[in-house]
Amino acid sequence: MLIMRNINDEQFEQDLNVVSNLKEVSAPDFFYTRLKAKMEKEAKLEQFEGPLKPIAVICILTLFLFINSLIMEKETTVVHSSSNQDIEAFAASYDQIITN
Amino acid sequence: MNEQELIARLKLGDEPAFKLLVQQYQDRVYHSALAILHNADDAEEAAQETFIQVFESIKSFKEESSLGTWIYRIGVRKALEKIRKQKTRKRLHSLVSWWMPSEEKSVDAAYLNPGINIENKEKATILFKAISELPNNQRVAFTLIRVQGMKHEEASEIMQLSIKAIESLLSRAKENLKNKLKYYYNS
Repeated sequence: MLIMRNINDEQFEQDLNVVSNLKEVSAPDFFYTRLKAKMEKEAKLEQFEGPLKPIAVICILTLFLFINSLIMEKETTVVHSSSNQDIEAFAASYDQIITN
Repeated sequence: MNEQELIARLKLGDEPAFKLLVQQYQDRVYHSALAILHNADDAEEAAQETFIQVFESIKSFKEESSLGTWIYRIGVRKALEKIRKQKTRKRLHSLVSWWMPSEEKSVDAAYLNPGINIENKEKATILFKAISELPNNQRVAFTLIRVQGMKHEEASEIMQLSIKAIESLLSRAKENLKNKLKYYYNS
């Protein structure tokens, strides 16, 4: 069970000394070899992905524009049909016939 | 080879110079990353990313600070990026847990550090956990000064903050730690 405890400054400083001025830890063995391997892997990936990036951006933009235009077209059709229905209802309420 | 020569050769893309630079700074950069991240794998990754960044941007190094300070600054930034990514991952995991596997990281810095006595390992683990819950800038300031034993001036150069700001961060970090430790310790 965790119980709240008042810590005085002296005790607190003593506790902090446990993690103070720690001896330097060495990097893992073969650090440079692994680093070089990572750099080579990233360079290869960049070589492959580099020319594909603009193509991917263009594809995403085109798709976005296409979906946007579809949505806009659909909204215009809905507005048109609903406005026609309104006029017909208005005319019917006054017993009028609408001819195009 | 002095620092000026090393920088000049690095700017020319000289591989042996890069190897020398890594060998000179790898322990300090790794130690620094481990002190901030409290996890060996993350620390190694952050240290590797630091050197990759150094290699890629050495040409833009204006020599306004020492090479070591510049490398440390990149190292701290990389460690903080890792923390940010972990937080984002955690948030995403809480939203789409079925899609993302959970990645619980243990606080193993206390067990890796030869400077901590066996009898203090448990206390150190609690302290490292409390440090990891501090806001990022307090966490870095506290780690650089208290854990790594850097001078206020060095920390101020690395964090690009005034010494007064560093002192204030350190004092707030200690206050926060004190409050956190009230709850961690058994009576």
